[in-house]
Amino acid sequence: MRSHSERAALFLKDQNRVTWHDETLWIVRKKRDKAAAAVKEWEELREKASQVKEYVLSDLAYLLLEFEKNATQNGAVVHWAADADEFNRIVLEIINSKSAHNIVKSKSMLTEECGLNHYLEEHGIDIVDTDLGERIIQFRNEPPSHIVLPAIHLKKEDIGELFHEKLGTERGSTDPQYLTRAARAHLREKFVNAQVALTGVNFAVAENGSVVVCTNEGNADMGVHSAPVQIHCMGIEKIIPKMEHLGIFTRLLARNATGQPITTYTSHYMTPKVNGEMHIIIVDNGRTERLASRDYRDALKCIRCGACMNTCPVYRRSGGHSYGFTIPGPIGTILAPHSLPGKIVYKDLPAASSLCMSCSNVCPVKIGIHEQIYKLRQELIRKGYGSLVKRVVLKISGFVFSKPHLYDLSGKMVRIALKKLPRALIYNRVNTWGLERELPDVPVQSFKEWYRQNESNK
Amino acid sequence: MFQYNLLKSGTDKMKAINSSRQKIVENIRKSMMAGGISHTLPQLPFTDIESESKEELYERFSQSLKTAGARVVLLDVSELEGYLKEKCPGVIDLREKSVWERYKGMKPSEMEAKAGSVLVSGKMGVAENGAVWVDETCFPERLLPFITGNLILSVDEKKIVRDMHAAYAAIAGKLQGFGVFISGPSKTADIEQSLVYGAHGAISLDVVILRG
Repeated sequence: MRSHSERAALFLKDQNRVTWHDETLWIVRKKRDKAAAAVKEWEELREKASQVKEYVLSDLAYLLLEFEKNATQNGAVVHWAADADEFNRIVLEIINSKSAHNIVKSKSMLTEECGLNHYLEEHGIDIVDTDLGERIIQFRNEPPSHIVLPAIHLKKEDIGELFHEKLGTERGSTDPQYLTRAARAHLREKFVNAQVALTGVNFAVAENGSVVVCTNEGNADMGVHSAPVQIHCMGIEKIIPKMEHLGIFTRLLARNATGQPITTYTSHYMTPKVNGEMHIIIVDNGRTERLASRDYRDALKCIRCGACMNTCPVYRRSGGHSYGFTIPGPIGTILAPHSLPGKIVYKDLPAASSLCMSCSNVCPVKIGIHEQIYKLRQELIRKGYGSLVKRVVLKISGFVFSKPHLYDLSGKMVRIALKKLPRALIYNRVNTWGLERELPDVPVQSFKEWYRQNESNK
Repeated sequence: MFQYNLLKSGTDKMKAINSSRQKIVENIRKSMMAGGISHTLPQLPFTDIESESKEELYERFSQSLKTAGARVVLLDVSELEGYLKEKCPGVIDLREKSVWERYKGMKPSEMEAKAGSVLVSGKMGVAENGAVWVDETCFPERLLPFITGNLILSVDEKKIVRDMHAAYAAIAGKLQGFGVFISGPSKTADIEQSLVYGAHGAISLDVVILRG
């Protein structure tokens, strides 16, 4: 597998596109700031959201069982899946038990995480993603590059060409309204014939067994209310205790994600429709392992708003696909399994961060994202997963830094060397810092020398 | 009610389902012992919130809706019939329960052809975001407010609340079946962040605020 920096280099080849990507996500970040500033009690909201989520993680077993009891009473069928395999199997069994072949799905990062689409396709079942962005990337056979804006890596020209091929739109036509209408017509036909509709879950309310799904497009509702069978897929951490807590989260989610005061639709599904079936699948897939880790459990508070991606200087300039994990960006970096027992996979992600803390500052549930990234870095280096170059450099630096005289001497030598050495010896492949930029001008003396001199001049 | 077919396919499967449930619950309990800290729920609702007059709430509600892409009109209750006749010919008026029978159990494809414009009486409006609460008591089929091209929501001016805390305080304990907050026409910006109304749900939304 390619490393993050190698994949980022591919993304960086098209400079105009990178600039567009960077600026567009920054606009989303600014919209978020404006929306947040308009709510006087914003910081209080974040604090309470964080507290509710901490409470949830501390009483998760009780809340899940309470949710199961109430959902069952409402007429829903609750399933439990320990891992991705079991989750996929349960979905397939429900589909097969209905001999269904028209399946629609609204956005669910959990199904991405479990590889559901691929699994169903292997079993001869076509599943149609109905969120416009997700349909676009499904046509392209790509994973989403952002959890809220799945096709943010694409330009309208790409989509125009894609729709011409897949939906028969006019060649060369790139008008977003025209293309959206074409997708609407195409997906309407899928909705009205749907036999099974899948959705993700934003919040599951323990006190009454209902699940809440937020969309702007209305695709979750079009699917759920058209199909006789509805399936809601949720990670164990999506539980909240009571309806009143939705007041906090619905105020935070859309404002923090896109700068809207609320999503167009905030749907509360509690019972199956007349003559319908409602299934809820509760999935673990590594979450209880994380829950047991004092250092990394807080990542389970995440409500998937995507704000940490929009604000991240590395994400904005390297694109979602560079992370190689279902959830990219800072939150993906700490959610990706790299340090869980037997699962060192995404060991390069913690390095894909400037540790500027912006992610933690915009997080609506106050996850210390940068702290976890920093901790992960140390852990991975300790376990020997740093590259050889990095390890040798750190060893030498550690030695030099521990001997003040050696440090002074090496400083002097570098200042002379940088001035006298030919350019080719300084700017080459070994010095990665010099690849895209000029090194700063060499100062005549070190700070220590300057301080000594000025101190004695007094 | 439905028959749950999976359970019929064998007790082994049932056991497997139960064992995952047990395993997850046990793992959660174990994790609490490993590193869990007990937390308590924060106090709600929020303190020091200034009260707003009816006019202020109306003003904020209609402004939020306009920002969300809806058209807003303030009418006296007595003016509604005339307004509908003039502006919304052919609207399916779901305030009339007699209309409900026609749509109950209707196939989505048929509904799509027939439900060009639908009027639903909303139960509550939220000033801070323009959301209107509708639930199963407002329509005969859950799909109707989504599949229609033009949705018209009426809201009693007295039923406008300040924010989502107030809204959920009113709903808590009363949710049945299905309910949804709708704020604006359906929208997407998935193509280069260009805002387009009419993604999958209604292409346009009119909100009629009723006074008196």
